[in-house]
Amino acid sequence: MKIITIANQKGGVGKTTSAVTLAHGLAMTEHRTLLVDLDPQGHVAFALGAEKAPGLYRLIVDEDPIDQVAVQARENLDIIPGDKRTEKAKRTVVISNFPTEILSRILKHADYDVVILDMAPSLDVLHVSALMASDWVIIPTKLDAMAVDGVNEVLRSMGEVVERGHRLGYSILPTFFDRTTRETIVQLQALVDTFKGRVWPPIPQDTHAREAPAYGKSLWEYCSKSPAVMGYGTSLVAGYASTLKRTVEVICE
Amino acid sequence: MSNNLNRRSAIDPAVADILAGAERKKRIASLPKAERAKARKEAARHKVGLDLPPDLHETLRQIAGKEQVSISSLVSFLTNRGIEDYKAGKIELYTYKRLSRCARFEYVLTFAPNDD
Repeated sequence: MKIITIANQKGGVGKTTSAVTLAHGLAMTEHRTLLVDLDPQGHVAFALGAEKAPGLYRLIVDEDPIDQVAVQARENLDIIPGDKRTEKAKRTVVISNFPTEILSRILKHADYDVVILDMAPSLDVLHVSALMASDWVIIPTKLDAMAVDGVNEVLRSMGEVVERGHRLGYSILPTFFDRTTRETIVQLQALVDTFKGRVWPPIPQDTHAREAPAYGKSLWEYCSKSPAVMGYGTSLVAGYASTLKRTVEVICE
Repeated sequence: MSNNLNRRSAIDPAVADILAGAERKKRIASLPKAERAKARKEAARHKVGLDLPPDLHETLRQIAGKEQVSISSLVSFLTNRGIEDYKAGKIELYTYKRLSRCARFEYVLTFAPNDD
């Protein structure tokens, strides 16, 4: 089982869209997938047309087993939904004996091929606990200076986790890519100069990605041929189809 | 910051492709007006990026060298012959197909026919 965290402390960079799209994509490619919402906004359930619920709260505070809390959202795809009670769960984590290991302990016996953790835009104890449980981190980022700074913050947290002896890989996923804007290209070039092959092909800015959650559909269901999924232009080099392919490579490593 | 994390050195080919395209556009925009049309025409030459196994690429390079032709010319020639054979029913792809794990495609093709 591989555990992949989607993280960036900056909000609005496409974390939940990426988490939901990749989780459903993996499920469609025959990977039994669990998507865990660690954000009190509870948007994972919303995006898949399910009800917000205190799933993470029940796992952490009530210590209910995963199979009792998980909700089937699609074939091969279960979710642990979140809601505002996730915030209360964080307080339980803080006062627990081994706060940074709580998610590792909970997920250790999860019977899935892949677990995707959708983080809240914050750097708290749950965030560190998620990194400690993870094999790989995907860091979505808009291509602007503030969002790219958020990448650095995540990498600092990851550095602390690595210093504790935990092995962790990562990739950077540029989102809201607008090829007509000079700043976008400048920031992409800066990311590539710094992080080289860690930078995955970008996700084009695409209104479909904003519309799909309103219908409770994933991008694969709502618009599988849209730029956000397939990239744009004649080369079709970017988009979530490309991200999914690289994620499968990570899982198979 | 991330000193203990292993960093990959190679740039993802798809990302490199995007950056090269942006760089080309920037270069064309900086040319004198009279030269821009010619540069755009040159840039619009039909180029495609395809994934080839490294062994196959090396073989193509060797044959192209031996025959004193460009690799592009050789690939165009061989692909055309392959397409003619496919259209004539001389190549049946189904014996070379196996299920893909990629969301975009049902199958991938192997070089050797499948036994099952």
